Amino acid sequence: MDGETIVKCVPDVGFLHTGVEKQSEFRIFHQVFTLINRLDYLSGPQEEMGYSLAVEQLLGVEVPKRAQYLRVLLCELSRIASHLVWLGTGALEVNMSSVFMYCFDTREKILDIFEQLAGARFFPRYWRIGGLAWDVNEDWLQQVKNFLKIFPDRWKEYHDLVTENPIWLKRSKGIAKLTLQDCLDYSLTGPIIRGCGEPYDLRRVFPYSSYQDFEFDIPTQKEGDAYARYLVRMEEMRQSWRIASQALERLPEGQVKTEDTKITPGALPRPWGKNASVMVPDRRITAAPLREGIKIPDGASYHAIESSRGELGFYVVSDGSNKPYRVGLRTPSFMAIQALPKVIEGGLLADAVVAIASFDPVLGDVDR
Amino acid sequence: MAEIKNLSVLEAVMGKLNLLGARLIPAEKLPGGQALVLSKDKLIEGMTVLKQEAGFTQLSYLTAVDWMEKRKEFELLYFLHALSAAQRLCVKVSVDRDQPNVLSVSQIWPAANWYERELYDLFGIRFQNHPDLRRILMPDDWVGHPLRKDYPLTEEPVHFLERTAPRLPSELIPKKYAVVTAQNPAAPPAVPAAKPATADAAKDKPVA
Repeated sequence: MDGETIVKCVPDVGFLHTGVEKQSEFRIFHQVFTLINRLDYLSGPQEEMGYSLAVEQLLGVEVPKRAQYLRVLLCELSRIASHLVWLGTGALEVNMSSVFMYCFDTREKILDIFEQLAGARFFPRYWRIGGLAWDVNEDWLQQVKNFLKIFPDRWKEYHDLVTENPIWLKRSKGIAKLTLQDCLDYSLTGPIIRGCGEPYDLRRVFPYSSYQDFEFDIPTQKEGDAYARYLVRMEEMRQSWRIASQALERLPEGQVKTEDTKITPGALPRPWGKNASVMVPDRRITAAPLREGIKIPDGASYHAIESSRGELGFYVVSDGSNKPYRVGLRTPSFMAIQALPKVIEGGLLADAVVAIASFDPVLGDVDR
Repeated sequence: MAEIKNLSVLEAVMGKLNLLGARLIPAEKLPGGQALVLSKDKLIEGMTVLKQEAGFTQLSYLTAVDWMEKRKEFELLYFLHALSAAQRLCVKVSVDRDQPNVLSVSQIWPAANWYERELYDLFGIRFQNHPDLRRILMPDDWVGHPLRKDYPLTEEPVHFLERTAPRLPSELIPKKYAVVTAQNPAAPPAVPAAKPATADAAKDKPVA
């Protein structure tokens, strides 16, 4: 520090390290879900998505269309939820505390949807290898429909509150500037690279889980500063809403898991309604594929998805047993924190707060 | 379409890469990608060609696998990404397990800096010419490298309820469901990973 100016910055991470990669090697493939969706704790469904896609790719299993659409729907809802937390806390950093309340109110509705579906709010743990845990019902679809109906108005509200707000403009315009070359050098992905003008989105580049069926735009901004990243994420919320609406509208009929009961256990009834929030120990734990696991043939697969923060990759190696030989996690926040000195050195201390908020790192995602 | 593009990106430099002893291997399970094996000695030359001539400007991910029993080596995996051609490439490099020394690529891709620190921390692979090779996730005074296969997974006693003695978490899991072998924390660190033992245990379990 030199007065209020930051001269040098050395990030020191690792305080949340829980050894997820090591622990995964001692759990059967199904149990790893529980570990990995706690990495990026703001978007649990997306972590489950990435891991299940990597394992399914290794197995060579095709997931039914209905399950793919439901997965997309949940991922986009969780992207909205995650961006709402970013917007709320980001505004809180510059003392706009009312935005925080409004955002969390809307996010609460998404968490209610997850709770109604699977009994847990942050980590639904609704994914299974080869599909989803159980089918959805009409009430739940109606709940999602209600949410999608109110969301555009809510979004407009935040847009009116923040986008032209003079305090917000002064605090975020020209702060934490990055160039496209920096993004390539430091392997920055997601909203950060899109804020530098590169329309790079894994949903479009390497489509997975039927993303090619949906119409959506990839928002970009040229400036590469905190305000550009703000605009990108705001627009992304609207695009997520578009994708979610399409997925709900065109939701195909059919199964939600593969026919092969060796991979996924057969359909089990799920208590809906109020009881869903109570963890009822039911027979699904004792179903053979979940208890003993599936043996996955030798091989390795890498699958990356576009999470709320960028490229979230899973490298899964199997040696033919029922546990992964190695699970490697490529997390977007790890790279974002590495690039942090680049943007905050030479700036003011007060701007460092905005810079960190604009990268939207989740430290569970950094330390794993 | 994507496949053809990819071939042209690599084909242009394949001659040079062949001179360096690199060879393409059957495609890894990697969307939009191919795999390439490169020898440790030619790492920097090969990577420079890939970045500057083939356009793999981004190092997406760098990780390692410890093949302790099968091949007695570490396998380094560099996941490269060419934005303009929308292609990926997985470069595999083998490193001796007893002498895990390899040159750092952080001069080529600055992103490799933390990935290499992570691999040094968790696998004990030493990257030469690295600007700042320190532990990153584990505490500075930690002994051992946790992701090596000969490093056992241990647990510590935890207080679960008030007025009870601390217990090991695995003691609370009914034997019937326990698929994880809890090892004694006092066990010597040379004990190999519990993989073979647990595979047998899973077989012996009664099918309910």
